Amino acid sequence: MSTSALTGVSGSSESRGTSSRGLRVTTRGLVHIYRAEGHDVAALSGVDLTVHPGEVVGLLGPSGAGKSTLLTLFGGLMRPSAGRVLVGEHELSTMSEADLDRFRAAEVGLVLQGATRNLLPYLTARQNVEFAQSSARKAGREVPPPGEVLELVGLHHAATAPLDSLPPGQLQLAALAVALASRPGLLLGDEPTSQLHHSSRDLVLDTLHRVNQEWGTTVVVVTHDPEVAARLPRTVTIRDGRVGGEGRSGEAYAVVSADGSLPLPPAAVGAFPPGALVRVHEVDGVWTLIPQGRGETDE
Amino acid sequence: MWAAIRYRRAQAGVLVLLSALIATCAVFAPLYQRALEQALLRSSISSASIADTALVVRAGRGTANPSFASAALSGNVPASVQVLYGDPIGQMSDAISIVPKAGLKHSPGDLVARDQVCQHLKITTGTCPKAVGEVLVSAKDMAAWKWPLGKTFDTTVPGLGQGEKPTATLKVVGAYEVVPDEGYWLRTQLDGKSGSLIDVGLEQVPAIDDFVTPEATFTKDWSVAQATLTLPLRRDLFTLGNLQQISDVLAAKGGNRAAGQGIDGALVETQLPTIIDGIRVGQHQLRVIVPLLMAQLGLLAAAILLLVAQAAVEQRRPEVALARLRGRSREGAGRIVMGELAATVAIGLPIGFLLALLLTTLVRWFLLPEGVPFEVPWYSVLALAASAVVCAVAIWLAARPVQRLTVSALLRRVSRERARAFGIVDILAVALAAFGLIGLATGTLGGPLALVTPTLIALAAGLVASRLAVPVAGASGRANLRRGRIGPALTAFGLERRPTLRKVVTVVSVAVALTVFAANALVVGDRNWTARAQVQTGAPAVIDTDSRNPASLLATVRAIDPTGTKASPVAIVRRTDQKSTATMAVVTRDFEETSFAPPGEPYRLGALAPPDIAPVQLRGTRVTGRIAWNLTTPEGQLAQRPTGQSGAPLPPGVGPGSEEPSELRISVTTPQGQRLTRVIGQVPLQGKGSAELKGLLLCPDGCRLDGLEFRKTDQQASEVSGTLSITGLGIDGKSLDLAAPNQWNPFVAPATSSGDALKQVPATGDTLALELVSTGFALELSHADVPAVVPGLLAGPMPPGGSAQGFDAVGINGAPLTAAVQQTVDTLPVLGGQGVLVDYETLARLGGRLPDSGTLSVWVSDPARADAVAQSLTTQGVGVLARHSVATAKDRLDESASAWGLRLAAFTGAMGVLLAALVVLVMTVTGWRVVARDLAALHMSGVPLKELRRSLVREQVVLVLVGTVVGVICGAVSSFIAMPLIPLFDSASDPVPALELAPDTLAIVGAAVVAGLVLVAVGWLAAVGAGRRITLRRIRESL
Repeated sequence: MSTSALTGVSGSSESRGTSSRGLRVTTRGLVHIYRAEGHDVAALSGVDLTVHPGEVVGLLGPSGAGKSTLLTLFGGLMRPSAGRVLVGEHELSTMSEADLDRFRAAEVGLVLQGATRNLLPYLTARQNVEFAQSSARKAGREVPPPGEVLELVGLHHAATAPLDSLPPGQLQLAALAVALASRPGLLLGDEPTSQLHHSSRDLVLDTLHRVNQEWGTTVVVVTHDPEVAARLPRTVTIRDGRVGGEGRSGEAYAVVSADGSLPLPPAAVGAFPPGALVRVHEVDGVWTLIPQGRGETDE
Repeated sequence: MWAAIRYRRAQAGVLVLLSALIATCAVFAPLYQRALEQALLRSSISSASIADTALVVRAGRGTANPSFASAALSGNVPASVQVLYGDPIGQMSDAISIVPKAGLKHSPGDLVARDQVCQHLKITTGTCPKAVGEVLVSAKDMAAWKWPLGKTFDTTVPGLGQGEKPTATLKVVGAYEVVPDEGYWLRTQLDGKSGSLIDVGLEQVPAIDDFVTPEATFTKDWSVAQATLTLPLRRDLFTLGNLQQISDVLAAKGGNRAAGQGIDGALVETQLPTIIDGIRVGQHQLRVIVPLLMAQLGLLAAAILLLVAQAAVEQRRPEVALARLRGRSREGAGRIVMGELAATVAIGLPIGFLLALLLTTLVRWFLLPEGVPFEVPWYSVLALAASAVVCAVAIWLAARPVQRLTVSALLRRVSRERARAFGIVDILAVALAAFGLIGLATGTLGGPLALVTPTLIALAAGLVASRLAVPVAGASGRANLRRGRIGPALTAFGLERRPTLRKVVTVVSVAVALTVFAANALVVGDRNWTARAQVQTGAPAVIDTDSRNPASLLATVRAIDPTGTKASPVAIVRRTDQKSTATMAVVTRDFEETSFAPPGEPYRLGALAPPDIAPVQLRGTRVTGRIAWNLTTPEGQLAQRPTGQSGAPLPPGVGPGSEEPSELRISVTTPQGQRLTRVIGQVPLQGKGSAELKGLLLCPDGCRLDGLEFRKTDQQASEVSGTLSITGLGIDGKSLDLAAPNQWNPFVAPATSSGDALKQVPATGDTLALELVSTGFALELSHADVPAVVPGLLAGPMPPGGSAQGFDAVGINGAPLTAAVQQTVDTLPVLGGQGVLVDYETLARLGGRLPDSGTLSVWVSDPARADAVAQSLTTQGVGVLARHSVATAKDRLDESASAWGLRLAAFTGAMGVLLAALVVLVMTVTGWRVVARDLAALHMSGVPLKELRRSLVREQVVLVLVGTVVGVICGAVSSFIAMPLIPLFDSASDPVPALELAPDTLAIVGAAVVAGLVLVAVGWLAAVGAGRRITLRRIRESL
C-alpha cells in the first residue's frame, strides 16, 4: 500500500473531530517472526489495524499474543518481518535507521513495562525529561518546557526529588513524563498501570486521558487489567498474532479481516471447534452462523 | 555524566584506581629506567678513579721536538674536548742516576717537574725549588742518607746519541713529604721507593725517591725528557644527555688538533671511552629488562582495562537502550557510555602520573645511590599519553558491541549467551603463545614478541582454561544435582552461567603468572649475583697479604688455624698476558671448608692432594754413598783404546782418552726456590764398576731433595743403557733411606727423547737400583714429595702446545711446571674462565718466593673471624694489604644495572596481584546486582539464604583458584624459558660463573601462595559483600 493511500485513511479519521496533533497508526498484513536458534516464532501473523489520530486504544490479549511486539513495532524499535506499519506519515518498515532514530526522538513516546526501566536512576524526574528532550531538540523539534510536561502529568512538585524517594505511582508518572518529553503525536504504553495500587492506577489513567485531551496525543496502551480496559474508549484484542476483536464503549465486536475472515470471540470458540462446518444465513439483515446438522434439523 | 559517575561510586572508584595503576605502570617504566641510567652513570663515574677518567697526553723530547715544555701538549687536545676537562697539570720527567753515598754504586731515580707541585707537598725543610738545578728530595731519603741542604749531585743527562753525554748538577734545597690528593697526583707517585733495594743488572742497589725540580731545570740538554699533560674530567659536565656527544668528541681526541699546534707523535689516552662503554652496556641491559617486565604488566593492565570496561558497558546496557529509545543514534548512545567511562578513567590518569613520580622519588631515596636527579623526561609524558590512548581504545572496543545492538536487543535484560566455541581471540592468543614458546625454547626468538611471550602463554592458557571450565562446571553441577547436593550444584551452575568466569580466570592466570615469573626472576638473579660475588671473592672473607713466601705463609696460617677449617692460604700467579693461563694454588684439603665452590660440577679435589711422601730436607756439607754401574753403548761407537788404558773402544773419529764420562747429579731446591744440581759421581760410558759418591751440598740453609739426574755428557755416544745401583745415599755418611720404590716419581720421558727410560728395579737393603736407557742429555728421577706432573683443574682452553697429560703452567714460585688436567671445570674462583687450580701444599714444597705478578691471600671461612685472622697475621709479621668479602662484592653487583633493573620485578609482581585483585573486585562490583537478583529469585523458590551466600563465596574462590593454578604453571614455564632473555651480568671483566637459570621452586611456590591467598581473600570478601545484598527486594530491580 502506498503512503498516499494510507494518508487518505488517516484523513478520513480526522473528520471525526479529534485532536489534530495525534498520529494515525495503520498496519496492513503485519507479520513479525522472532528468529531463535533452531526455530522461528511468529509473534504477529497478519495484523490489520487502524488507530485514528487522537484516539485512546487499549491492546488486550493473553500473554504471548503479540501485544508488546505490536507496540514495539509502532515505536520503531523493530522492523516487521512482513507487512507495513504507518505512523502518521512515516512508513516505519522502510525507514532508514537514522530516520527511525529521529522518529523516536520526536514523534513517539514509549513507556516500557516497569517504571524504573524508563528512567535513568541517577537523575531526577526533571533531568530525565531533559535527557529525553535532548534528542528531539537535535532533531529540530520544538519541545515543551520540562516543567510543563511534569505539570501535565501532575509531577511538578517532585520534579527535583531523587527518584528513589518517589512512590511507585509517581515513578510511573515520571516514566510517562519522559515518554511525553518531546510532546509526541503517539504515546505507547506497555502495561503502564501494572504493579500499581488502584489509586496510582487511576492517577496514571487520568493522566493518559488528560494528555490525550490537552495535547490530542494518540494513546495506545497494552494492558491485562479489565478495569483499565473498561476505562478505555476502544480496545483491540490480539489473539494468536491477529486482531481477535474490538471493544467500543463496552460493546465487544469481532473484526472482519482484510481477507474477509472473522475471528470468533472466545465465548463462541467452544461452539465452533476448529474444522467445524458453518452455514452463514442472512435473515432481515441479520447474519446467522449455523453449525452443520443443527440448522438442518431445525429446518 | 557526573551524576552517573556518582551513582556508581564504587565502580567509578575502582575504574579510577585501575586507570591510575595503568598510568603508573606506563609512566613509571621510563622514569625508573631514566633514574637507573642516571644512577648507573653516577655509579660508573664515581667508582672510577680520577686517573681513569682523566685525559693524559704524553710525548717525549726527541730529534723532531728537542725542547718543548708540557704546556705545548695542550695543542694536541681539540678545544671541543678541552671544555670537558678542568685545568691541565703538566709534568716533565727524566731518569737520573745518582750516588746516594760515597762509595756506593749509582742508584736510578726520576727527576720530576710538575705544575704547582710545592702546593701539594709538605716541605719538611728548606724551600720550594725555583732555580734551574734546584731539587727537593724526599724526607725519608734525606734522613736515610743524611743529605744536608745544599748537597749537590752530578747526574748524567740521558740522551739519544752514543757520544759523551752532558752532566747536570742537582742541588738539594729542601725535603718533601707527599700530601695525598688523588685529584692532583693521579697515578704519579714520587715516594715509596726509599729504603728498598732494586735490581740493576745483576746487582741490587738502594732505591731512591724522585727528585722534584722546577720545569726550568729541563733545559734543552734534557733531550729525551718525557712530558705529560693531564686533564682531570669535569664530572659535573658528564650527563646522560651528552654521553653520545662526549663519545663523539673523545673519538676524535687526537685527530682534530689545529695545524701547527701540539706535538707530533703525542699519545692521547683516557679510560673514559671504556667507562662509557660500560654505561652503554648497562643501558642496553636496562632496555631489555625494564621493557621485559613492564611489557608483561602493560599487557595485563590493558587486558584488564578492556575486561573491566566490557563489564562496565554491559552494566550500562539499559541506559544505552533508554538513550536509543529516546531517539539517540547508535553513536550518540555509545558516546554516553564512553563519555562516562572516559571521564572516570581520565580522573585516574593524572593520579597515576603523580603516583609514578612518587614511586620514582621513593626509589631514588631508598634504592638508588645519592645524586640521581629528579627528572620528568618528555617521554614519560608520552607514556602518559600512550596510556590514555590505550584506555581510550579499550573503552572504544568495549563500547562497540552495545553500539551494534538493536534497540530491542538492548532492551533485553540479559544479553544472549555467547558461543562456547573458541573465538578468534582465543585462537590468536594460543597461536602467538605457541610461536613464542617454541621461539624461546629454541632460542630463536627476540624482540617485542619475546618480551611479551610469558604473558601470552598465561593469556592463552587462561583463555583455554576458562573455556574448558564452563562445560566442566555444567557437568559438575548436573552431577551434584543428581546426588542432591544443592550447594555444590549451585556453585557449579553459577560458574557455568556467569560471564565473569572467563574474565576472572584469564586475568588471574596472567597476573599470577607475572607474579611468579617476577618472583623467580628476582630470586634467580640474586642467586646468580651471589654466585658471581662468591666466584669473584673466592671465600666469605679474603685477606691479601704482603707475604711473598708461600711456605712461610702456610706455616703462619697453620699456626693461626691448625685445622684449616677457618683460614687457608691461597696463591694466585698471573702472567703478563691476561689471556694466558694463570695459576691458583689452594690447600685442597681446606678448600671445601673455607671457599665457595662455583656452581656446576663439583670439583674433584681429592686427586690434587699432596703426595704422602714427605719432603727430604738436606742439611750438611757432603753427599755420600756408593754407586755401582753396568753400562753399555752400541757397538762401533767407541774406538779401541791404546794399550795400558782401559779396554773400551773409542768412537769413530775420536782419539783414545777423549770419551766423556756420564755424571750422576743430585738436584735440590733452595729455601728461595732456586733449583740447583750438584755432581756427586761420574760413571764411564760403558763397563762395570763402582765408586764412592762424593760432592759438596752447598746448602748452608738446608735444601730440599728434588731428585737425581743421570747426564750423558758424551756427545758422540748415541745411547747408554744398563743399570746403576746407588747404595747408602746420604749426607755426611748418614743415609737418607731413599731406596723404597714409592720414594720416586715414575720417569716421564721428554718429548725430544722418547726412547729414554729410567726404571727403579728391586734391590736389597739401602740400594736404589735403576735400569736406564739414555739417548738424550739427561734422565731425571724426581723425588715423589712433588709429582713430576702436577695434577690440576683446568678452566678455559688448553694452553698452546699442551695436552690433558701435560701442559705448561707457572708455579707459585714463578718457575715453570708441568701440569696435567685432572678435571675440566667451567669456572675457577677469582680467575674465572681461564686458569689452573693446583694444590698449594704440593707447590709450597718446591720453595721459592712468589713472583711479582702473584698474590698471597688468606681465605677465611667466616667473615666474623676475618678481623681476628688479620690481627694474628699482623702479629706474626705478615702485612695485610687489602681485605675483601663476598658481602662487599655482592653489594657491588647489587648496584649493577641488571640488579637495579630486575628490582622492577618486585614492582611488577606486586602490581600483578593488585591488578588481579582489582579485577576480582570490579567483576563483583559490576555484577553484584544481577547475581543478587538471580540468587534472590532462588531464595524466593525456597533455597536458604545461607546456602546461597555460601555458594557465592565458593564460586569466587573456585574462580580465583583455577586462575591461580593456571597462572602458577604458566609462570613456572615462563621462568624456565624466558630467564635467558634477562641479561644478569653487565661486565665480563671480572670472573663470571656459568649462569644458573633453573627456576627456583621456593620462589615460585612462595609467590603462588602469596598471590593465591591475596586473591582468594579479595574474592572471598567481595563474595561475602555481594552475598549480603541477596534480598527479595532485588527481584524488582531493573537497572
